[in-house]
Amino acid sequence: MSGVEEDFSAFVHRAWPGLVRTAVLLTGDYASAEDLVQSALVRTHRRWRFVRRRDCPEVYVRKAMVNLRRDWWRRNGSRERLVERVPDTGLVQADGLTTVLETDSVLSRALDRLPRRMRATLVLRFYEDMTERQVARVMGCSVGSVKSQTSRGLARLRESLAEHGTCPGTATDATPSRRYP
Amino acid sequence: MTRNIEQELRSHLGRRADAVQVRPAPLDVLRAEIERDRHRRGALTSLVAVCAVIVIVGTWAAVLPGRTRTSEARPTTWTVDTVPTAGDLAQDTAWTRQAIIRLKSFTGTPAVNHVVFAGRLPVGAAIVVAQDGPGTVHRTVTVLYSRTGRTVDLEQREYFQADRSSRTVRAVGPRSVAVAVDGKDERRYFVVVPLSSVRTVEVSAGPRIEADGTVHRSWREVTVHRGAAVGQLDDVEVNLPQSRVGTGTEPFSFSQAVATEKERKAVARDLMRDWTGSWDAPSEEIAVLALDAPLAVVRRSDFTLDPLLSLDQGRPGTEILAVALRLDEDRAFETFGVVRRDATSTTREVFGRGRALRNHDLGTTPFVWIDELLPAHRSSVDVRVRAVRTGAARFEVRDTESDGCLSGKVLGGGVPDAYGLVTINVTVPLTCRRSVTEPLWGQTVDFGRLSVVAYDERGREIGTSPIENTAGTLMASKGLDLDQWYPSSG
Repeated sequence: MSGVEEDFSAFVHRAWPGLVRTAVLLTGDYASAEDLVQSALVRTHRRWRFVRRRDCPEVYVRKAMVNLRRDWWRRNGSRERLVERVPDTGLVQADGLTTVLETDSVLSRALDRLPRRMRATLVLRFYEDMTERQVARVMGCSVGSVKSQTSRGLARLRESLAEHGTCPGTATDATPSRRYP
Repeated sequence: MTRNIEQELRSHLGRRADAVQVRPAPLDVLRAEIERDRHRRGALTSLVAVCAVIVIVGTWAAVLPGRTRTSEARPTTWTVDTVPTAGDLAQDTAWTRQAIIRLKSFTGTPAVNHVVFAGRLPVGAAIVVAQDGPGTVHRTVTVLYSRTGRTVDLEQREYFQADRSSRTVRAVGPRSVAVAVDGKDERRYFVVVPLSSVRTVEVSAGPRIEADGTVHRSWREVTVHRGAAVGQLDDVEVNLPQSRVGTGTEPFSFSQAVATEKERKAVARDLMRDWTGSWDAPSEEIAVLALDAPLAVVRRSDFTLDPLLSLDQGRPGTEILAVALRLDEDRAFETFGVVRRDATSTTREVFGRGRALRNHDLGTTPFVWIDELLPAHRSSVDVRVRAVRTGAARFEVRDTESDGCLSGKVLGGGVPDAYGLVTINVTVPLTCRRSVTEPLWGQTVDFGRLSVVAYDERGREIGTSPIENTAGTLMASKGLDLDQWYPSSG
């Protein structure tokens, strides 16, 4: 195996868990997430000689994931897919449940209901801690579009939380920590 | 309380991502896919014009019976992709092509790798298709059924998703593709496509539970015609069909339960409402879980329910519900569900089994399951066994056979907590692995010779249960291959 291939394998080995976690947040289920990461890595491999020189090749893979996901949405619209196991959404009971669990349950359902592009924007902004400019670059859209998607997405989540008896505060202008160059 | 939605979302996404149990990167699958991609792209670069023609022709050829679209660099070759298309409509290219168009309207999956079966059933017609999933890892098997036989009436009946890197696929076994299809006449039909050249296959509609607790199956020989054995499944009380090709037995795959989801929930609610056990009534969640598997295979009119055990440790903790499904005065089988809850997530498992359950046996045996299984060394495995039985003062994990492995020795033991629940960590030598087929559900049990024995306060043995859930399932859920991991076990 050549050095380039070894380098790529090492990268896959190292980055795989993080990429799959992001993909699960983008797709909502593990099987699709694995597929998405696989396809993105195949694309990345085509340009690995260039990508490997970057400080953070993961950004390239994530961009490929978002693009592939977008293509997949375009091709298949919003058809329901059958799964073997129903994803665990936690329990909601009137008594004995912590606020964290309740919030998780509400947010989980609300996120799943968001338009996929909006959901991807929120995942990149608030899970990947990307700046609006970085998200725009990955999503292939304008910064203004990212801002509006983020704002609308957060508003919807806030509404969902409010419907379930909590009063979330307004969004702050807190700048997310920047993991990416 | 006023909360910052951004912080809430950030925390939520972090927790949700952390809860994902990521399997190891499937590097071999990825390398094969890269090779396939490279091969495809290289060909495209050098032969653009020729390939344009090939792609057009190939797209049409892919939906023709008996053809595969791509196979040279497939990471794990499915025999199902190379077996000739079975069924009496296999050569009817117009019917097959229309069926594929209909199929795509249901699944949205663009690539059709292979038509496994296209043919008439005793009533109507069906098509069984193997497809790629949306990406590179997963495969699907889809079954469409038409009551009239016309393609416009085809409806999606089954949809199985399979991990190409794993060997166990519900719809596709190493010996056959076996699917059961519910017809609109409320009868169930089967299609068995053997993956080797055989003249007959055997079919069993389901097991029969006897009064002494033993489980028997009767088998019917069906002739393979045009590559497939096709017929109607017998009407039985426990609908768990299996096919037998040569010496290998494989379960049928079917997703249509004999009771609808609404009916199943209604039964669960009835159980909670009429709960007569000496414990608190179970939650709806576990009632639905514990009854889900049996209600998928036994009609509601064919059994009555007896509660056996219910306990709930709260969160974090474990909730267990065990009930008996009584088929008549003498015959019954147990099922139990386990819900494990930690701070942020919930794990659900259900176990069903058929065993000696005469009246005085009901609820006397421990309910046992493997909670965790980790490869420890090349020659042993660490197993976390959990068990519960009301009235037990001590439990032991024992090799119940007198020869080989540990020859009747005790591997470990423990005292139950206030709920009667015990956790026993044992290290099991690989020589103790002996795969047996669990008779009712047809699952492969990897530690068939190990049992949990319950003792009362005086040290008397009051119940024994084998460890029945499969190590293989647990290993697969972790992305590990049990056979590779047991290199010397054969």
